[in-house]
Parts: sequence; structure tokens; C-alpha cells
Amino acid sequence: MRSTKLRIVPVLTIDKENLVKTYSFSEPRYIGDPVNAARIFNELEVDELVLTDISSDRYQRELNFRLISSVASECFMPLTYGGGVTREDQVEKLLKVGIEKVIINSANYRGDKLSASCIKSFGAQSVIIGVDYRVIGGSDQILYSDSGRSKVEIPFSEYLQKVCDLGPGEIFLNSIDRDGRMEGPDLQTARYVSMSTEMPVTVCGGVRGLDDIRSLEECGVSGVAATSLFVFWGTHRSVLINYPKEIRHIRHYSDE
Amino acid sequence: MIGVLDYGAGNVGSVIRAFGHVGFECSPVVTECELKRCSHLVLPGVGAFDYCMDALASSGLLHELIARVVKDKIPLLGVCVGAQMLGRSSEEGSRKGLNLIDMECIRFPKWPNLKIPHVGWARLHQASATTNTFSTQKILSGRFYFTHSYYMVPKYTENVLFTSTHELHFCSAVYKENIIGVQFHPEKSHRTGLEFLRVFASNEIY
Repeated sequence: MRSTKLRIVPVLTIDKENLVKTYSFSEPRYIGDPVNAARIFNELEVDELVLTDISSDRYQRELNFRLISSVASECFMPLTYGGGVTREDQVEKLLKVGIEKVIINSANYRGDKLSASCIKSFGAQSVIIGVDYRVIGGSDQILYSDSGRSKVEIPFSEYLQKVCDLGPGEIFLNSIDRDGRMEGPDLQTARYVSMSTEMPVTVCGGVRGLDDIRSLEECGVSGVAATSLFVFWGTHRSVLINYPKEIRHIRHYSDE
Repeated sequence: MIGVLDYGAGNVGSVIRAFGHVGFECSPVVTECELKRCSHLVLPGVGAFDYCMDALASSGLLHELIARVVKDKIPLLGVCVGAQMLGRSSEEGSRKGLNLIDMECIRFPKWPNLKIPHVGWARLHQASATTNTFSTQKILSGRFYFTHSYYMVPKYTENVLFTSTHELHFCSAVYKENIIGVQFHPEKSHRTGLEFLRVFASNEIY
């Protein structure tokens, strides 16, 4: 079977202490314990893991470092964290507890220099810019911040150029409309973004399986992220942490 | 005991945890006194080249590090930017490297479709006919995790331990007697990476 260079990345979404799965960034459904899920994904030797905290109170309190450390201690693979990051000292502490890369998203829209200063201090490879967007009725992509709660009044293409100028290690492109639907990824935006930059782009939202991964690869993306694909099983979406065999098989020869 | 230089620019925790997982005693090294007690040393590095060199210079560990590695010949493993720091210099910055291995670091070229940084998994290919301690079936058949925009270019091929591929072939590991430098992250490379660390910790020459 033809191999792929793509990184195929399960996303663990946490709400307070729980592992959850959302639909279009809302209606979080309880899945289980995030530390246990991380342990299983480590055993399955996944390419990478992303941990995102969507708790509504995450800006009012300190990051949940206890839980983040527990997840990190299960991972002998790259681990990315996103959610509520507003200060450089938080990024420093995240790297210290074993996070490889930190997603900075909403802070970029507030005009602060967090991403730029983190790139300077910790290197571009430690910083991922998260981009959440919706496409409503065939419109252009509309940016959203704060886990899809607030609309951002900056045109998508203008913002993308800003991100490219900033020069992070990666762009994490997340389609709010497609989240949790398992109805296929947004190939058009994936292609547009990854052709606009030399940076690696990871795409999240709607991925159903190998065919979608192949299609995204043709769009030029570097990583495919998903939750539903890796935490649900079968037509009734029963909870089962898994990393499908056909996916494990194709990525084993990633550089050949 | 394995010591991981904790000089403010590196993922010390992950490296310590990984060595612990394969059964080796491993601690962060903050003082010269701690450095003197180590049998093996690891130099991690995250961030820009100059940032790491400056951090190491101001840690007060530099002098003793060189003494232990050059005079006492204890094994040293440089990881990621820690490996690049073993050379003379890097295109990324203006600071001088440790000059333990004759090499410099250059950026991946601006080719269409060549993604920079190189982020992802790749195999190691044995660089020369001479075998070394790391050329085992387990290591050569596995994958390692990379994340970097610059790569090492040793002056002498005898210092190239492994090569890897990201559209172009590049040197992914260097060695010279007791000194090893790896561009990838063994502590983030699952069982294969743990095996690499185990081989490093189990030997004194490679």
C-alpha cells in the first residue's frame, strides 16, 4: 500500500477533568479519562497527540498543569497543548512539564505579542498558531476565537499572511463546521492554506478515515488531526480508543 | 548516573523520564558539583541557537562540561539544538558553538513544496560501512521524531553517524569517539527512541 508522510494525530479535548468530544465546538459529550486515553495512544505508538482544554473557565484560572503533567508523563511521543494560553511563563512551564509544542490561538487576535516572543525565546518549532474558522453558506472563511465563541473581524487571507510573517513552526487549521460530524474535511481551505505557506499545516475537522487522509495529502497538508475517528467505533459511535490498522500500516514507511 | 544539563533551554523532564523508563538513574544537572558525579551527560536544546549558547554560557556549567567530555572522555549526547551546539557555528545565529565536532549547521533550502521546519517521523540510514553501537536492527527498522529548520553538516564524513530524508538527504546524527549528536528526539520516539537511549546509556564508546 502507498505510504504517507503525513502525521496522523489524535486530539484529546478536555473539559475540566474529563475527556470529551464536541460537535461544532459545542455539546461536549463525556468520553472518559484523558490520562488513560493518553496511555492507550502511547501504547498504540501514534505519531503525535494534541491536548486541548475547552473548559469555559480556562481564562479565569491558571492552566490545569496537574492534568497536563499527568498526560505528558504517559507520552513518549510529541505532545501539543492548546487552550487558554495567554502568557509566556505558561508556555515555559508547559515545555518544562514535557509539552513539545504549544498552540496559541485567541491571544493572537488581542494584538499581544505572545506568539512572536515565544518564537524568539523557545524557537519556532515550539509554537503552533491555531486557526479556528467557519464557512457559512459558501461564504469565505470566517475566523473565530475563544473556542468558536467570538467572531473575529479580520479577513481570513489577511490574517493568514500575518501568521506567515510571524513564522511559527506550524499552523493548526480547525474547521468548526466539520468538528465531530465525520462528514469529510474541508479540502478547499486545506489546499488554500497549505499552498500559501512553506510552514507545515495540520488540518482538523470531519476526517472519516483513510480516503480523507489521502485527499488531504493531495492538498499538500503535513498533518491530519482528528478526534471522532480515534475515540468512536462503529455506526453507533460507541466509545473505543483506537488507531485504525490501515492508518498504522501506511505511516510506518513515512520517509520512503 | 546520567546527567541532563538543566541550563534553561531544553526539555529536561522528558529526557529524564525516558531514561527512567528504560531503567537508568537520571537527574537534572544544575551545578558543577553535580556534573562531576555523572557517568554520562545529555545536552538537550530547544529554541534558537544563540539563545541556547547564551543560556549554556551563563549557566556556569560550560567549563566543567568541556573538561568532563574532552579530558575524562565521558559520553555526551547532544539532542536537537543540543547536537547542533557541538559544532563550530550555525547559520541561525552568530554565537560560536562548542567546537567538539568540526561541523556547521545550515537551513533547509527554499524549494517549492519543501516544508520548513521539517516536522515528522523518519528513518535512520547508516552513513558508512563502519558499523557502530547504534546500528542495531531495532534502531534501523524504527522511526524517529524530528522537528528542525537547520541541519548539521560535518566537515568529515567519518563524523556522520546516520542520515535521514526530508526531500533531501541530511545528516541526522554525528559522532566522534565519546560524543554523539542527534537531530531527532529519541525521548519522543516511542520504543525505538527509548532503545536508542538505552544503547547510549549502556556503553562508553560507540
